[in-house]
Amino acid sequence: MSKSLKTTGEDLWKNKADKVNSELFTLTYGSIVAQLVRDYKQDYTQVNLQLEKMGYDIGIRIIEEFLAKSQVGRCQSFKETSEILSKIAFKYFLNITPRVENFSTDGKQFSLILDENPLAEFVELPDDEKANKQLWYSNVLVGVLRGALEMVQLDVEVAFVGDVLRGDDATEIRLKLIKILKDEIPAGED
Amino acid sequence: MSQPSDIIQVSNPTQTSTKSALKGGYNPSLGPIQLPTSYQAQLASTASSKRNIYDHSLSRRAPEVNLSSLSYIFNVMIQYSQKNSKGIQELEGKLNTLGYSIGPKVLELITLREGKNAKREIKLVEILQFIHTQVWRTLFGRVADELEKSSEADDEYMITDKQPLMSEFISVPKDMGQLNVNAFVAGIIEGILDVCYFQASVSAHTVETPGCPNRTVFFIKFDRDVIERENLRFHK
Amino acid sequence: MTIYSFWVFDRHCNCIYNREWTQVVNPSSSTSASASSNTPTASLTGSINSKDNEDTAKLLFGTIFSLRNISNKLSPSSTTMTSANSLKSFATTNYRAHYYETASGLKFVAMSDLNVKDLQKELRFVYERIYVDCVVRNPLCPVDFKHQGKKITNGSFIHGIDRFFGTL
Repeated sequence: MSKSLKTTGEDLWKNKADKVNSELFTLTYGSIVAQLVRDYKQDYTQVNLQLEKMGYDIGIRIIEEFLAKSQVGRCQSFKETSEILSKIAFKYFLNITPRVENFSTDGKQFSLILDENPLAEFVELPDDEKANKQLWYSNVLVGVLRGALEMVQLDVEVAFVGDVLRGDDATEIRLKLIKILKDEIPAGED
Repeated sequence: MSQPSDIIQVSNPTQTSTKSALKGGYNPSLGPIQLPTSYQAQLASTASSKRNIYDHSLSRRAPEVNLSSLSYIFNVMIQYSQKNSKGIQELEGKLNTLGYSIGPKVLELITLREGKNAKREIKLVEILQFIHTQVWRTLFGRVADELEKSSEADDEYMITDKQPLMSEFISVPKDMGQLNVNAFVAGIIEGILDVCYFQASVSAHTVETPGCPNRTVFFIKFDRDVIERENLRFHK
Repeated sequence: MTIYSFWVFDRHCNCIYNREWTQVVNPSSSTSASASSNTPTASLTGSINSKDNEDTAKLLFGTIFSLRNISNKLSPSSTTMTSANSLKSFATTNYRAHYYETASGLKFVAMSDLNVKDLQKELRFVYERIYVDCVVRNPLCPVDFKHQGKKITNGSFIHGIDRFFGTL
């Protein structure tokens, strides 16, 4: 199964994605983060929050494009979700394939390990303890994942647990399935 | 890092990790700093040496991402700037500032990649051609459409892009009339011109033509001093 | 082929776009196609997001919602929403209503004459190329229409829909 997902992702990237220089992408994102850091006067917790909010706004849009282009239907399991995220979604949008690791025994939690991260290419955090401890530079991804998954009725908790920018061993995003959301029902019906 | 697909790691990390673990890396007045080996070892053992950006080569050809990912990021930038602006002008000003901040970085990257062929442009027309051609090609994958000099004033120039990449998906609602989000790109140009000592102000204007609703003219107005310097140097 | 109307519902069960063509849209009459693409208001050829349609929209949604749930229940694997037994259309003596739902819960509906058997591909196209390009990728257009009464008012979407159904 995962073999075919990989091919799907690669075909999608090759044939359906308009491509652009990733440096323009990196620099554009960088200018946003830098602006937020200035606007929130180095309050990195606030910056993280804002980045996540921005990501959420992207997530609820990006999911539609993803579903439209990929023709992927609803996932049958969270396991399938993880594979589709890594091999198709990340491939299509960022041209990377994060590793899916550390699935919990109940199948409700896993990690995405990003060996490459186009958002943070050539980024170095400011040389102060606070930024290194508090800022999740790529936190926009957290919001994107949460927003996008919510639109396909998966209520998921998403957070960075490591980032090479901070000196961690790996850039790792942890996803935890809270619940599967129900369809909304029109007013006046039961 | 053990992934075969990881093409980023150009240099050998085991060779360079101890050296590059130096915080700050290079002191302009002293050159590279050699720290005592004990300190180096201590640094190397801290996680910060794991994957250092100095290990990466800047010269390699840039990889690509999906254009839509860039548009989504650009979109939130616009929304964020809009939230904190009172009008179109202020919004464009904010986008310009954001672009301005990356202009010098774009310039550095391009000149670095050109290697031996790189030169510092000192003629006004040449720096404009550089922007019209190399900068556009690096950022947007193709050269800009036109480069013109204003017939009315000697300090005004225009670069035209029929289909600007950054605003491909943006249709501006009527109540935002004059807004052109390419103010961001105008900012990049301004940033580049400034670090090259061609101080100018750059703005983006929509000048629609049939079939090109997003056609944008980047209007470049140089500071008086720049024009005078140019005349003294090359025209007298 | 005649398309009478087109509707979009969001996941909050609200109608976020409705378009009614009073004039017959068919491939041979180039006048209606050019009229709809040239006049942004298109008042001559029907209505866009008309207030009068609110009750119809609610009823239409209710009908589709129930039919969709029933077809899911009839499916052997009724635990999850599979595409195995999804609603595609239903017919009355005069109309056929075509239905396409995305995994994100958007619902596209088109009313046609009875000769039109299947519009799945077309509705998918509307989602993939018109909704995604004109709404989703346009930062100045909202994608969450939670507050009642909010509609898609974006010019390029309206044009896109008229042009597309005009060519059918």
